[in-house]
Amino acid sequence: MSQPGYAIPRSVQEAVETLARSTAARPIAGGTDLMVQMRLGHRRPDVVVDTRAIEELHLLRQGDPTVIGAAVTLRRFLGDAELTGSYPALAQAANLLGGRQIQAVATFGGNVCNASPAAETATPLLVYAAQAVIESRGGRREVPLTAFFTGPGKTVVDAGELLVGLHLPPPTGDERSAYRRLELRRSVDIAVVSASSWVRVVEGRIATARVAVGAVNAVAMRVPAAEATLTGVEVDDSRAVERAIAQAAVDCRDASRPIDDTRASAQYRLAMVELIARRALNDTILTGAH
Amino acid sequence: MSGPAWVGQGIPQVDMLDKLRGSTKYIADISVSGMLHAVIVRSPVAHGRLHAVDVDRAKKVPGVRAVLTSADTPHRFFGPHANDWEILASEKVRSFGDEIAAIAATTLDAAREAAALVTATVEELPAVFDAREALRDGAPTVWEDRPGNVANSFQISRGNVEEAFAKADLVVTDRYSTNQIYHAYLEPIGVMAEYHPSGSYTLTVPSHIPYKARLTYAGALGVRPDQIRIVVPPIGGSFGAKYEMIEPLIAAVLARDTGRPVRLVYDREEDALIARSRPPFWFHHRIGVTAEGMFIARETEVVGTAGSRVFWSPAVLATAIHRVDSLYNFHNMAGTGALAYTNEAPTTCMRGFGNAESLFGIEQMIDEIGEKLGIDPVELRQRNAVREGETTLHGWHISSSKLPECLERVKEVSDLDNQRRETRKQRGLTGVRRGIGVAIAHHVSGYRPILADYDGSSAIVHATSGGRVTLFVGEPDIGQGQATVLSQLACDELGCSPDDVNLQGVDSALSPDAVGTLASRATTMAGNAVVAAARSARQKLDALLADHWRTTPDRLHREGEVVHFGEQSLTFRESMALYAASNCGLPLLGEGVHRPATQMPDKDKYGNPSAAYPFAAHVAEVEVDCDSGQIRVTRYWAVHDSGTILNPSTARGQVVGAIAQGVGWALMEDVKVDLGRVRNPNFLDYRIPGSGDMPETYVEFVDAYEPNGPHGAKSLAEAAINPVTAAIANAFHDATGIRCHDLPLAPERIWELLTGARAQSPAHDAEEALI
Amino acid sequence: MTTAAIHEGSMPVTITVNGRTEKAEVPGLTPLGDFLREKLGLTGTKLGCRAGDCGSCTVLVDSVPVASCLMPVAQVGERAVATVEGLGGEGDLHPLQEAFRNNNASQCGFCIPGILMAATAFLDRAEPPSRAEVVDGLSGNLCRCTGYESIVSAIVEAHTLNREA
Repeated sequence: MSQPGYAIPRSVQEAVETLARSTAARPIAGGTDLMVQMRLGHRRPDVVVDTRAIEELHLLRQGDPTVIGAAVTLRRFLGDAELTGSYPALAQAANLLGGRQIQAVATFGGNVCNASPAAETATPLLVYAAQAVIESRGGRREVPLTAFFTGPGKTVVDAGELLVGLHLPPPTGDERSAYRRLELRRSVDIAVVSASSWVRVVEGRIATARVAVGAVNAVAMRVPAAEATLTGVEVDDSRAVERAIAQAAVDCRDASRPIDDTRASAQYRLAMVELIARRALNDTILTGAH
Repeated sequence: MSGPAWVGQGIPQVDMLDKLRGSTKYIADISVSGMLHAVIVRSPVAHGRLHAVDVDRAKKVPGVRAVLTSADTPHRFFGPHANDWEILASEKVRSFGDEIAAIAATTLDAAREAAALVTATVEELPAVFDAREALRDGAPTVWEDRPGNVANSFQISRGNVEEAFAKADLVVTDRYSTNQIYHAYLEPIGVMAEYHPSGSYTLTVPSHIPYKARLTYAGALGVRPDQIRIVVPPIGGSFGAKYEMIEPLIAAVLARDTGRPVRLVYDREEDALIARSRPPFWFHHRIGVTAEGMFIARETEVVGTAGSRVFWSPAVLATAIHRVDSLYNFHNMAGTGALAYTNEAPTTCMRGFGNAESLFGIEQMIDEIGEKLGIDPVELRQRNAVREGETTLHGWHISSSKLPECLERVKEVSDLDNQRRETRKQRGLTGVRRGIGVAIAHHVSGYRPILADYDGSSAIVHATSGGRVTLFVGEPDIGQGQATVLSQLACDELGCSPDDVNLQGVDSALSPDAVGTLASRATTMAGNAVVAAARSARQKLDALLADHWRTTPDRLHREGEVVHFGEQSLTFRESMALYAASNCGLPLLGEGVHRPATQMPDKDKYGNPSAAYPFAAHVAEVEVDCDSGQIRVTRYWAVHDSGTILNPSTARGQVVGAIAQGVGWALMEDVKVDLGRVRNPNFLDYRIPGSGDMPETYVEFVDAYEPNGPHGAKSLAEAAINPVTAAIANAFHDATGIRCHDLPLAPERIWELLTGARAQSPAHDAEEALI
Repeated sequence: MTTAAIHEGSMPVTITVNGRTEKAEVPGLTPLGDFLREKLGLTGTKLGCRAGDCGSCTVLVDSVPVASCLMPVAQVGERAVATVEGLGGEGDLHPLQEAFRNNNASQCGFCIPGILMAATAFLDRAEPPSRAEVVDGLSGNLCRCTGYESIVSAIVEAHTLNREA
């Protein structure tokens, strides 16, 4: 049981060169998932590439696009009033991930690359239409987050590639969004199901809607049927809004294929994803949380 | 002497500073020269015949000093309650956790590497994972010599229960179950063993019944008890789990084989995988009542899980069947129960010890009786509670009880009646509903049958020329503040300050032999012994001082830490210097023996086993999100009779801590076992309450005095967990009209219950709440 | 094209703990908590779960509470580490220690070093924290004995003691 090698590259280019040297190399950021997985033998990298010293991975700025570097910690994001104001669902989710000790080191890159179906930041990033920026020796590519997750613990990031950061479209000022999850206790916990939603209201109607659900499929995912249900709804027509929210929540349930595990049965998750999606949509559209 | 200076004060714990500086040395913090690290290889199946264990490759790993299997141990069967323990499994494995090989190596990594190379040839056998199934005909047999899988059984009856039921105006019958709870102490299990060429052992183990454990260990190792020196380090939580364990024996055989000290410390996952949890119980209760609300008969049948071996579950079973008869007078009772062997990890006792389990159902049924008869639940409890001075059905003598006052106070401070009027106005099983519920409980302060030889306690007080006082008792402190209250008791006798006092960690080379810290006995038993020891020390000191001042002891006068005689005075420290100088350096020694007036129950289980009984009345308020099933305890009130409160600050801490454990048990904790394997062996999926899960809590101790306790004190820490699950379940019923028969009341179960209730009465759906 | 050096096996680590600079050769992935305990003998930092779930191992890295069971020691770099051993001076107590003592905010004590270090985050602010804020900020630390009430009281009191000091 030899220890993996440890490398501390100073640049993205150095990192991808280092990662390219072995198909079993793996980046480490905050280590909050990887350290446990290595200890339990769930992941066995031969080289661990520490991304902390790479400046570009620490980029955090609102703009066009908004950039969240892969090594940006949840706490740092939560401490930025402009960003948390612009991306409230992401702030709500980040604030619920782990205790303060974890938030201080856990990163956005780590949370999405770990690819847990229940990952807190996944559904908000999905509804904010995030693009993953991935670099390898061959160059840089951008992958929409909708195509990023390929299975539990699996992503499109190949051996030799590094997630550099996430790009989010800038806020336009006429959108609303929210995150909700169901947990089994009030202190630090992991989601049994989660949902995020985002709508853009133009001239009193929902011009664009995005809805994503977590922990009910192999990957966190958008729900196009729910988005279609919501699109075009007049926001001042409270009966129409209520009907659309209820139907969109049912759409979320219909799109879910949950499993039974120690946290919940599939049956409970199905009922709860409808409830939690409805609550997220209520927060987004009715309560007007931004 | 004036009144007590220290007893009754909420002083800081005497061992607090070490804990706050990080200098308390738990097992994992202790390294000794030459120490090896141990790792255990466990059974890969729940039930199987063990044909061979191949250790050759493991032995070749650099740094490995020993790889042992059953053949290398003093192979015999032994155990605290049944001879079904082995140090390492021999012919069969009976649960996933079963230990089949043990490794000692110079580093933990080497030991782990070797463990991965041990291969066992196991012929898998059909297994049984449910106690009720295990007791049915045709179930797989866990122990060949125990066909039928009955690990233990218990029967008791008083009066004529069938005749009484026939006379009853109302008979309620119901089933309840309690679940498997992991003690979830923050310090994972750790032990250290040393073997000495003389053939003796030193075992450093976090047992709170070290002398009892030593008897088991001596039997296992084939040595006399005095050939084992047992040392108790600071314990990072136990709650019953660390009484007697297999781990010290595995470390001991490794230490003997290698001639080197061996430390074995679990990671959380291993600790939780083999968790010897609170045994799950399935109860059937029947209670007969007159129209006036007087209980006249109780019948209880219990099935529980022992797991693959018997730890302390038999004592828990017995308690679950008959302890409630010293809380309520049922006049006629019959109780039977059986523990089944299954192919699961062994279960053992946990704080509350069967009493809490039994009350979960009984306290709900008492509410139900109240509803059916139209009698207020507090009033119904008042009518039937055992009273001070009464001798119960089983001969238990209630020397003090302020339970009636506790009930009245808790009703008053929680504004129970008005709150219930409000909660009853709620309609519709949607949205958030609130409920409030009451439950009462009691416990013992020691339990005579634990050791055959004796009950009670003894203590030695040792004071040096510099005025340092050390207390020696055989009841380990387990973090509950015992060192502190014993110091307070000693200081009031000796005229010194708690800053001068240490409680020596239990070490069989130094400490009195003892029954141990269990059955809520330490404050009462060791407390009385310490008072006696300190008094005997003071008498010696007073004799010397009287001689010094040419007077008689009765003319000395103590104020705080100063002894006066007329105009003359000496501080405690000065008087100790005088004492030592006058006795060629001899420390002042006091010895104390406390023999409680308890009785070993006779063959019919009749006799008073405890010197004192504490009581409690609790009220819980809950909020239920009827759409998701999420529940939380919003407010909580606890009123206790624990006699004189020796330290109100640590006493409050015991109550609040017990409520936290009760809230966890009631709402979220559950060892999930699937085909014998624990599926949630970590704190992510075995949820214990965090800071955000705790209610706002009111705690009160009523004025009370227990004649058999030190300064009138009796026990507290278990009485405080016993009513919690029932109070919460009664509050849940108040909120929703639904009885929850099974623990925990976790969101999914609540959602299922609510979904079922809504299906039965669709009218509930009429009022759709806005979410 | 350059690649970063890959340290196989052990690597040199220089780390400042409680104001003292220490050097060692260890595998870079050694958790900081194990490094503190095994290499530096600072056993005040406890390992309760090694998974970031219990908070017992909390230490400060550049004054920020982190779970030392999950941080590779190679990642600490230039940042200053503070453990419970460095909290109070010799003889005198840190305001948190004093407040924990006053409130009997410990029973078995195993979780306490981590809770103390996590609690330092409440002291730097101008306004005393409310109980609700402490409850929320402490939600990554588990205690099985106390039920948290005395701990929360102690942290609120420590803020006052710290301001007075």
